[in-house]
Amino acid sequence: MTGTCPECAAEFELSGVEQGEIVPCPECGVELEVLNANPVQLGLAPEEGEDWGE
Amino acid sequence: MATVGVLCGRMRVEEKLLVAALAEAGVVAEPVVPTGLPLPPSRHPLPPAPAFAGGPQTDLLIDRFPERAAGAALIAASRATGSATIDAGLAATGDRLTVATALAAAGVPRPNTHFAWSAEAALAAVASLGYPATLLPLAYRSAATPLLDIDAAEAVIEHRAVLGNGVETLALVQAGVAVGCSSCFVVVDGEPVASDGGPEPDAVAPNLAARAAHALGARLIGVVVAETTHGPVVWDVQPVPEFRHARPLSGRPVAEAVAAMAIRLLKARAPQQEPMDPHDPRPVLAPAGHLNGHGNGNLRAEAGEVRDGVALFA
Repeated sequence: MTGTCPECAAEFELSGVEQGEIVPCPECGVELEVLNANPVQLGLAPEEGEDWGE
Repeated sequence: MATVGVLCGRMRVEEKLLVAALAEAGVVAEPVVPTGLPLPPSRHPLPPAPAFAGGPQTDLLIDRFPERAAGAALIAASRATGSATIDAGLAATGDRLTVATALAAAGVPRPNTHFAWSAEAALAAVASLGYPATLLPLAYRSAATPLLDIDAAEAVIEHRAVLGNGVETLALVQAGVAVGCSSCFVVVDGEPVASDGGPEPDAVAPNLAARAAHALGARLIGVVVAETTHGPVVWDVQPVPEFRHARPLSGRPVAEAVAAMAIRLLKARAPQQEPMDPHDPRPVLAPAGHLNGHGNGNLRAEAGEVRDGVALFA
Protein backbone atom coordinates (compact mmCIF):
# COMPACT_ATOMS: atom_id res chain seq x y z
CA MET A 1 0.00 0.00 0.00
CA THR A 2 1.14 3.52 -0.76
CA GLY A 3 0.35 6.58 1.30
CA THR A 4 0.83 10.26 0.57
CA CYS A 5 2.04 12.66 3.23
CA PRO A 6 -0.35 15.63 3.41
CA GLU A 7 2.48 17.84 4.68
CA CYS A 8 5.19 17.30 2.05
CA ALA A 9 3.36 15.26 -0.63
CA ALA A 10 5.88 12.44 -0.38
CA GLU A 11 4.61 9.01 -1.40
CA PHE A 12 5.83 6.04 0.60
CA GLU A 13 5.05 2.41 1.23
CA LEU A 14 2.96 1.33 4.21
CA SER A 15 2.24 -2.20 5.30
CA GLY A 16 0.22 -3.65 8.12
CA VAL A 17 -1.00 -0.34 9.45
CA GLU A 18 -4.25 0.00 11.35
CA GLN A 19 -6.70 2.83 11.57
CA GLY A 20 -5.63 5.27 14.26
CA GLU A 21 -1.99 4.28 14.11
CA ILE A 22 0.60 7.03 14.16
CA VAL A 23 3.39 6.74 11.58
CA PRO A 24 6.18 9.17 10.75
CA CYS A 25 6.67 10.46 7.24
CA PRO A 26 10.04 9.10 6.08
CA GLU A 27 10.74 12.26 4.10
CA CYS A 28 9.72 15.24 6.26
CA GLY A 29 9.39 13.50 9.61
CA VAL A 30 5.94 14.77 10.52
CA GLU A 31 3.74 12.41 12.50
CA LEU A 32 0.80 11.11 10.52
CA GLU A 33 -2.37 9.42 11.66
CA VAL A 34 -3.80 6.59 9.63
CA LEU A 35 -7.34 7.83 9.06
CA ASN A 36 -8.29 4.88 6.92
CA ALA A 37 -6.34 1.62 6.49
CA ASN A 38 -7.79 0.38 3.23
CA PRO A 39 -7.45 2.38 1.10
CA VAL A 40 -4.76 4.19 3.03
CA GLN A 41 -5.66 7.72 4.00
CA LEU A 42 -3.27 9.79 6.08
CA GLY A 43 -3.77 12.99 8.03
CA LEU A 44 -1.61 15.10 10.28
CA ALA A 45 -1.56 13.61 13.75
CA PRO A 46 -3.20 15.92 16.28
CA GLU A 47 -0.68 17.71 18.44
CA GLU A 48 -1.12 17.64 22.16
CA GLY A 49 -1.45 21.06 23.66
CA GLU A 50 -3.63 23.49 25.49
CA ASP A 51 -6.72 24.32 23.48
CA TRP A 52 -7.67 27.29 25.65
CA GLY A 53 -11.27 26.33 25.36
CA GLU A 54 -11.23 27.18 21.69
CA MET B 1 27.76 30.76 -6.43
CA ALA B 2 25.17 32.43 -4.27
CA THR B 3 23.02 30.16 -2.19
CA VAL B 4 19.67 30.63 -0.56
CA GLY B 5 18.63 29.11 2.75
CA VAL B 6 15.04 28.18 3.41
CA LEU B 7 14.50 28.45 7.15
CA CYS B 8 11.95 25.80 8.04
CA GLY B 9 11.00 23.20 10.59
CA ARG B 10 10.67 20.59 7.88
CA MET B 11 10.36 20.55 4.12
CA ARG B 12 6.66 20.85 3.41
CA VAL B 13 5.06 21.30 0.01
CA GLU B 14 5.63 25.07 0.07
CA GLU B 15 9.32 24.76 0.84
CA LYS B 16 9.76 22.14 -1.87
CA LEU B 17 8.08 24.47 -4.36
CA LEU B 18 10.44 27.28 -3.36
CA VAL B 19 13.55 25.13 -3.69
CA ALA B 20 12.36 23.86 -7.07
CA ALA B 21 11.60 27.37 -8.35
CA LEU B 22 14.99 28.62 -7.21
CA ALA B 23 16.71 25.67 -8.84
CA GLU B 24 14.82 26.39 -12.04
CA ALA B 25 16.19 29.93 -11.85
CA GLY B 26 19.72 28.62 -11.37
CA VAL B 27 20.04 29.35 -7.66
CA VAL B 28 21.18 26.74 -5.18
CA ALA B 29 18.71 26.54 -2.30
CA GLU B 30 18.97 24.40 0.76
CA PRO B 31 16.79 23.87 3.81
CA VAL B 32 18.04 25.41 7.02
CA VAL B 33 16.59 23.42 9.89
CA PRO B 34 17.91 24.97 13.09
CA THR B 35 16.66 22.32 15.46
CA GLY B 36 19.18 21.66 18.17
CA LEU B 37 21.78 24.00 16.76
CA PRO B 38 23.36 26.78 18.78
CA LEU B 39 23.23 30.28 17.38
CA PRO B 40 26.72 31.76 17.21
CA PRO B 41 26.70 35.56 16.76
CA SER B 42 28.49 35.47 13.45
CA ARG B 43 28.04 36.60 9.88
CA HIS B 44 26.10 33.42 9.22
CA PRO B 45 24.22 32.68 12.42
CA LEU B 46 22.37 29.76 10.93
CA PRO B 47 24.73 26.98 9.93
CA PRO B 48 23.43 24.42 7.46
CA ALA B 49 21.40 21.58 8.83
CA PRO B 50 23.43 18.48 9.71
CA ALA B 51 22.35 16.79 6.51
CA PHE B 52 23.99 19.63 4.59
CA ALA B 53 27.06 20.10 6.77
CA GLY B 54 29.98 21.17 4.68
CA GLY B 55 27.73 22.73 2.09
CA PRO B 56 27.92 26.35 1.04
CA GLN B 57 26.85 29.10 3.41
CA THR B 58 23.65 30.91 2.54
CA ASP B 59 23.61 34.45 1.18
CA LEU B 60 19.89 34.93 1.61
CA LEU B 61 17.47 33.47 4.10
CA ILE B 62 13.80 32.85 3.35
CA ASP B 63 11.66 32.67 6.47
CA ARG B 64 9.38 29.65 6.32
CA PHE B 65 9.52 28.72 10.00
CA PRO B 66 5.97 28.12 11.20
CA GLU B 67 6.75 28.22 14.90
CA ARG B 68 6.95 31.96 15.31
CA ALA B 69 8.60 32.29 18.70
CA ALA B 70 11.71 30.58 17.38
CA GLY B 71 11.30 32.00 13.88
CA ALA B 72 11.15 35.56 15.16
CA ALA B 73 14.31 35.10 17.19
CA LEU B 74 16.18 33.52 14.28
CA ILE B 75 15.13 36.16 11.78
CA ALA B 76 15.96 38.98 14.19
CA ALA B 77 19.40 37.47 14.76
CA SER B 78 19.93 37.05 11.04
CA ARG B 79 18.93 40.66 10.37
CA ALA B 80 21.30 41.84 13.11
CA THR B 81 24.22 40.37 11.23
CA GLY B 82 23.27 42.25 8.08
CA SER B 83 22.17 39.11 6.26
CA ALA B 84 19.47 39.51 3.64
CA THR B 85 16.15 37.92 4.50
CA ILE B 86 12.85 37.36 2.78
CA ASP B 87 10.28 37.52 5.53
CA ALA B 88 7.09 39.15 6.71
CA GLY B 89 8.75 42.32 8.01
CA LEU B 90 7.25 43.50 11.27
CA ALA B 91 5.00 40.44 11.32
CA ALA B 92 8.05 38.16 11.24
CA THR B 93 9.41 39.40 14.52
CA GLY B 94 6.48 41.19 16.13
CA ASP B 95 3.11 40.16 17.44
CA ARG B 96 -0.44 41.03 16.47
CA LEU B 97 -0.37 44.25 18.49
CA THR B 98 2.75 45.42 16.66
CA VAL B 99 1.16 44.63 13.33
CA ALA B 100 -2.22 46.20 14.19
CA THR B 101 -0.49 49.34 15.42
CA ALA B 102 1.64 49.69 12.30
CA LEU B 103 -1.33 49.11 10.01
CA ALA B 104 -3.48 51.62 11.90
CA ALA B 105 -0.67 54.18 11.79
CA ALA B 106 -0.37 53.66 8.03
CA GLY B 107 -4.07 54.26 7.56
CA VAL B 108 -4.79 50.72 6.41
CA PRO B 109 -8.47 49.92 7.03
CA ARG B 110 -8.88 47.59 9.99
CA PRO B 111 -11.83 46.38 12.02
CA ASN B 112 -12.56 48.27 15.21
CA THR B 113 -9.95 46.79 17.54
CA HIS B 114 -9.22 46.92 21.24
CA PHE B 115 -6.08 45.68 22.94
CA ALA B 116 -6.66 44.04 26.30
CA TRP B 117 -4.06 42.90 28.80
CA SER B 118 -6.41 41.41 31.36
CA ALA B 119 -9.48 39.21 31.33
CA GLU B 120 -11.55 42.08 32.70
CA ALA B 121 -10.33 44.39 29.94
CA ALA B 122 -11.05 41.78 27.28
CA LEU B 123 -14.60 41.29 28.51
CA ALA B 124 -15.09 45.05 28.66
CA ALA B 125 -13.78 45.30 25.11
CA VAL B 126 -16.21 42.66 23.86
CA ALA B 127 -19.08 44.39 25.65
CA SER B 128 -18.09 47.64 24.01
CA LEU B 129 -17.75 46.17 20.52
CA GLY B 130 -20.82 43.94 20.72
CA TYR B 131 -21.35 40.42 19.46
CA PRO B 132 -20.05 38.67 17.52
CA ALA B 133 -16.45 39.58 18.13
CA THR B 134 -13.14 37.78 17.66
CA LEU B 135 -10.32 37.23 20.12
CA LEU B 136 -6.89 37.26 18.51
CA PRO B 137 -4.09 36.34 20.92
CA LEU B 138 -1.00 38.46 20.45
CA ALA B 139 1.15 35.47 19.57
CA TYR B 140 0.76 34.27 16.00
CA ARG B 141 1.02 30.68 17.14
CA SER B 142 -2.49 31.00 18.56
CA ALA B 143 -5.50 30.98 16.31
CA ALA B 144 -8.30 33.51 16.43
CA THR B 145 -11.39 32.55 18.38
CA PRO B 146 -14.89 33.79 17.49
CA LEU B 147 -16.86 35.05 20.47
CA LEU B 148 -20.44 34.63 19.42
CA ASP B 149 -22.13 35.51 22.71
CA ILE B 150 -21.33 36.49 26.27
CA ASP B 151 -21.21 32.88 27.47
CA ALA B 152 -18.58 31.96 24.91
CA ALA B 153 -16.63 35.12 25.62
CA GLU B 154 -16.51 34.51 29.36
CA ALA B 155 -15.59 30.85 28.90
CA VAL B 156 -12.72 31.49 26.48
CA ILE B 157 -11.30 34.60 28.10
CA GLU B 158 -11.47 33.35 31.68
CA HIS B 159 -10.08 29.95 30.65
CA ARG B 160 -7.05 31.63 29.10
CA ALA B 161 -6.61 33.91 32.11
CA VAL B 162 -6.88 31.15 34.72
CA LEU B 163 -4.83 28.44 33.00
CA GLY B 164 -2.48 30.61 30.98
CA ASN B 165 0.82 32.04 32.10
CA GLY B 166 -0.05 35.68 31.56
CA VAL B 167 0.97 35.88 27.93
CA GLU B 168 -2.22 34.09 26.93
CA THR B 169 -4.27 36.89 28.48
CA LEU B 170 -2.87 39.48 26.09
CA ALA B 171 -5.06 39.73 23.05
CA LEU B 172 -6.69 41.90 20.46
CA VAL B 173 -10.46 41.97 20.40
CA GLN B 174 -11.88 42.78 16.99
CA ALA B 175 -15.44 43.61 16.08
CA GLY B 176 -17.19 40.93 14.03
CA VAL B 177 -16.07 37.58 12.71
CA ALA B 178 -14.30 36.83 9.43
CA VAL B 179 -15.71 33.36 8.85
CA GLY B 180 -16.94 32.94 5.28
CA CYS B 181 -16.20 36.52 4.22
CA SER B 182 -12.43 36.65 4.01
CA SER B 183 -9.62 35.77 1.63
CA CYS B 184 -5.92 35.43 2.27
CA PHE B 185 -3.69 37.11 -0.30
CA VAL B 186 -0.05 36.13 -0.62
CA VAL B 187 1.95 39.28 -1.27
CA VAL B 188 5.44 38.85 -2.71
CA ASP B 189 7.78 41.80 -3.20
CA GLY B 190 4.87 44.23 -2.96
CA GLU B 191 2.68 42.39 -5.44
CA PRO B 192 -0.38 40.33 -4.52
CA VAL B 193 0.31 37.17 -6.50
CA ALA B 194 -2.22 34.64 -5.20
CA SER B 195 -5.28 34.17 -3.06
CA ASP B 196 -6.47 31.21 -1.06
CA GLY B 197 -9.34 30.52 -3.36
CA GLY B 198 -11.99 32.49 -1.54
CA PRO B 199 -14.55 34.62 -3.35
CA GLU B 200 -13.35 36.04 -6.65
CA PRO B 201 -11.49 39.16 -5.56
CA ASP B 202 -12.06 42.56 -7.07
CA ALA B 203 -9.19 45.01 -7.38
CA VAL B 204 -9.77 46.57 -3.97
CA ALA B 205 -8.92 43.61 -1.75
CA PRO B 206 -5.60 42.68 -3.40
CA ASN B 207 -4.52 46.31 -3.39
CA LEU B 208 -5.39 46.53 0.29
CA ALA B 209 -3.25 43.47 0.94
CA ALA B 210 -0.37 45.10 -0.90
CA ARG B 211 -0.76 48.28 1.19
CA ALA B 212 -0.61 46.20 4.35
CA ALA B 213 2.51 44.38 3.19
CA HIS B 214 4.16 47.71 2.39
CA ALA B 215 3.24 49.15 5.79
CA LEU B 216 4.85 46.14 7.47
CA GLY B 217 7.95 46.10 5.29
CA ALA B 218 7.07 42.54 4.31
CA ARG B 219 8.62 40.78 1.36
CA LEU B 220 6.57 37.61 1.73
CA ILE B 221 3.38 37.60 3.76
CA GLY B 222 -0.20 36.40 3.79
CA VAL B 223 -2.76 39.14 4.34
CA VAL B 224 -6.29 38.18 5.36
CA VAL B 225 -8.80 40.66 3.98
CA ALA B 226 -12.37 40.50 5.25
CA GLU B 227 -15.41 42.08 3.71
CA THR B 228 -17.46 44.19 6.10
CA THR B 229 -20.42 46.48 5.75
CA HIS B 230 -17.91 49.33 5.69
CA GLY B 231 -15.83 47.76 2.95
CA PRO B 232 -12.79 45.47 2.99
CA VAL B 233 -10.48 45.54 6.01
CA VAL B 234 -7.22 43.83 6.86
CA TRP B 235 -8.34 41.26 9.40
CA ASP B 236 -5.07 39.50 10.18
CA VAL B 237 -1.78 38.54 8.61
CA GLN B 238 0.09 35.26 8.27
CA PRO B 239 3.85 35.58 8.74
CA VAL B 240 4.42 32.21 7.03
CA PRO B 241 1.56 31.76 4.58
CA GLU B 242 0.71 28.43 3.03
CA PHE B 243 0.26 28.59 -0.72
CA ARG B 244 0.13 25.01 -1.97
CA HIS B 245 -3.51 25.50 -2.99
CA ALA B 246 -3.26 29.21 -3.74
CA ARG B 247 -4.81 30.55 -6.91
CA PRO B 248 -2.44 32.78 -8.89
CA LEU B 249 -3.88 36.23 -9.55
CA SER B 250 -1.70 37.05 -12.54
CA GLY B 251 -0.56 33.68 -13.78
CA ARG B 252 2.69 33.65 -11.82
CA PRO B 253 2.93 31.08 -9.02
CA VAL B 254 4.03 32.22 -5.57
CA ALA B 255 7.24 30.19 -5.61
CA GLU B 256 8.24 31.68 -8.96
CA ALA B 257 7.64 35.20 -7.66
CA VAL B 258 9.73 34.49 -4.56
CA ALA B 259 12.53 33.10 -6.70
CA ALA B 260 12.52 36.23 -8.86
CA MET B 261 12.73 38.41 -5.76
CA ALA B 262 15.56 36.29 -4.37
CA ILE B 263 17.56 36.78 -7.53
CA ARG B 264 16.94 40.52 -7.44
CA LEU B 265 18.11 40.73 -3.84
CA LEU B 266 21.18 38.60 -4.48
CA LYS B 267 22.16 40.78 -7.42
CA ALA B 268 21.67 43.90 -5.31
CA ARG B 269 23.89 42.52 -2.57
CA ALA B 270 26.56 41.01 -4.81
CA PRO B 271 29.09 43.88 -4.52
CA GLN B 272 28.53 44.22 -0.79
CA GLN B 273 30.77 41.98 1.24
CA GLU B 274 30.88 43.73 4.60
CA PRO B 275 29.08 41.86 7.39
CA MET B 276 27.26 44.94 8.65
CA ASP B 277 26.00 46.76 5.61
CA PRO B 278 24.29 50.08 6.34
CA HIS B 279 23.05 50.27 2.76
CA ASP B 280 20.98 47.12 2.72
CA PRO B 281 18.60 47.56 -0.21
CA ARG B 282 15.80 46.36 1.98
CA PRO B 283 13.35 49.11 2.92
CA VAL B 284 12.87 49.99 6.55
CA LEU B 285 10.49 47.75 8.40
CA ALA B 286 7.81 50.38 8.54
CA PRO B 287 7.35 53.64 6.68
CA ALA B 288 8.91 56.73 8.16
CA GLY B 289 6.73 58.11 10.89
CA HIS B 290 5.44 54.74 11.99
CA LEU B 291 8.39 53.98 14.16
CA ASN B 292 10.25 56.34 16.37
CA GLY B 293 13.82 57.29 15.69
CA HIS B 294 15.16 54.48 17.81
CA GLY B 295 13.62 51.74 15.74
CA ASN B 296 11.05 50.81 18.32
CA GLY B 297 7.36 51.21 17.77
CA ASN B 298 5.94 53.96 19.96
CA LEU B 299 2.86 51.98 20.80
CA ARG B 300 1.47 54.34 23.39
CA ALA B 301 1.57 57.23 21.00
CA GLU B 302 -0.06 55.24 18.20
CA ALA B 303 -2.96 53.95 20.21
CA GLY B 304 -5.84 56.33 19.86
CA GLU B 305 -6.81 56.18 23.50
CA VAL B 306 -6.06 54.09 26.56
CA ARG B 307 -8.85 53.55 29.01
CA ASP B 308 -9.37 50.95 31.73
CA GLY B 309 -6.63 48.73 30.46
CA VAL B 310 -7.96 48.78 26.92
CA ALA B 311 -6.18 50.55 24.08
CA LEU B 312 -8.54 51.84 21.45
CA PHE B 313 -7.39 52.04 17.85
CA ALA B 314 -8.92 54.38 15.37
